[in-house]
Amino acid sequence: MPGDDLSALPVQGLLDELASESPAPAGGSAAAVAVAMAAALVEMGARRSPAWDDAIGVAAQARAIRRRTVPLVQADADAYAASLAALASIESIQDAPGAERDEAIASALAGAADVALAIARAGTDTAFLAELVADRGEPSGRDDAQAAAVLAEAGTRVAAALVAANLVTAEGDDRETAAASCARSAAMVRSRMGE
Amino acid sequence: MTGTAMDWASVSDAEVVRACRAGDDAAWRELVERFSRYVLAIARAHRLGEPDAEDVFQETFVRIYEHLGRLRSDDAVRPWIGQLTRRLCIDRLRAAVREPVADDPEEQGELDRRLTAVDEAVSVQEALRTLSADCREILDRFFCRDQSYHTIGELLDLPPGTIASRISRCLAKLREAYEGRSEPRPASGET
Repeated sequence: MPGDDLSALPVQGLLDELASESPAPAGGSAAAVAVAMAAALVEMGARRSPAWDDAIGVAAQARAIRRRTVPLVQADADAYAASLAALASIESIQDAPGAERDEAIASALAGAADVALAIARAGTDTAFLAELVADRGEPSGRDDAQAAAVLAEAGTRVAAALVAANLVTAEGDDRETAAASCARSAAMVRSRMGE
Repeated sequence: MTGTAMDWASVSDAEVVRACRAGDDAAWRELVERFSRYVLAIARAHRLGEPDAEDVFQETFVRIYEHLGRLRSDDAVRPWIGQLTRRLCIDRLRAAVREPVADDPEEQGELDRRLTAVDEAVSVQEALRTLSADCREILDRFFCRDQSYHTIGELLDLPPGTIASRISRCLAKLREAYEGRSEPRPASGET
C-alpha cells in the first residue's frame, strides 16, 4: 500500500491490509507487530513493578525495542514488495546465464532478509526482557510477561523463517545462521518461563 | 593540566575552561569538540539554513575565544555558550528578514521546546561522560546503534542474557548523574 504507513493504521485497518489480496504486507509485518506488542507488554510489566530496582531500565529498553520495531512493520512490506517486483523483472531475462540470474535473485531478496533479521533480533531481545519481568517484576504481571515471551518467540520464529526463505539462493549466508540462533534463543527463554 | 595524552572524557567542563585559559591548545580543541554539536543544534533549532548555521558556528567560537577570560563562573560555560549562540542566531535572523523575530507566541513556544530539547540532550551527554567507559559503550551500542543483546554480548564477551541487566544498571547511574547535573544554572556567566 504505497503512500501509507502501516504502523499508523488503527488495528482494524492493519488487519484489513494483512487480509487483502495484495501480497504485501504479509508474515514479516505481522511478525514485527507481534514483537512490538510483546515489547509493549514487557514495558507495562516493568512500569508496574516499582519495587524492582531495574524496572525503569528494563522499561526503557523495552520502549527502545518497540520504537525500533514499529517502523519494521512498513519496512518489511516495502522490502517484500520490492523483492517481488525485482523477481518479476528477473523473469524477463530468462536468457541470462544461470549464475547471473542467481545473483540477481539473491540481490532482490537480500533487502527482505535484512529487515526480517532485524525483527528476529528485536524478538529475541524482547524475550530476554520478558523473562526478567516474569522473574523479578511484580508477581501479578507474570502472566503478561509470559504472553510477551510467547509473542516474541512467535515473531522471532516467523522472521527467522523469512530470513531463510529469502536467502535460499545464498547458501552459508551468516544472516541465516544469525536468524536461526535468534529463534533458538527466543524458544529457549520462553521454554524456561514455562507455560 | 597538560594537553598530552589527556583522557578528556572524565574532565569536567569547568576544568576544560581553566585549561583553555592556561593556554592549553588541546583543551581548546576539546572545548570545540565538546560544544560544536550543541552550537549547531541551537542554530538548527532556530531554523537557520546551513550556510547561516555555519557562520553562527564560526562566530560563536571566535567570541568564545575572545571572551572566555571574562566568564565569571567556569561551571556556567554551557549556559554562556548557549546564550551567546542564541543571540547570534537571532541577529542573523533579524538581518535576513529585517523584522522582529519570533513575535508569534506559538512560534516562540516551539523554539523554546526545541532549545529545551537541545539542552536536555547536552545534559545527557555531560552525564554520560561521568560514566565508566564500559557503561558508555553498552548504552551507546544499545540505544544509539540499535544493536541487539546478542551482538553486544559477542563484542563484549558477555552472555546475551546478562546484557539487559547491565544496561539497566548503567541507566540507573546515568540517571543519577543527570539528576545531579540538571540543577538550573545561571544563563550568563560573563561580566
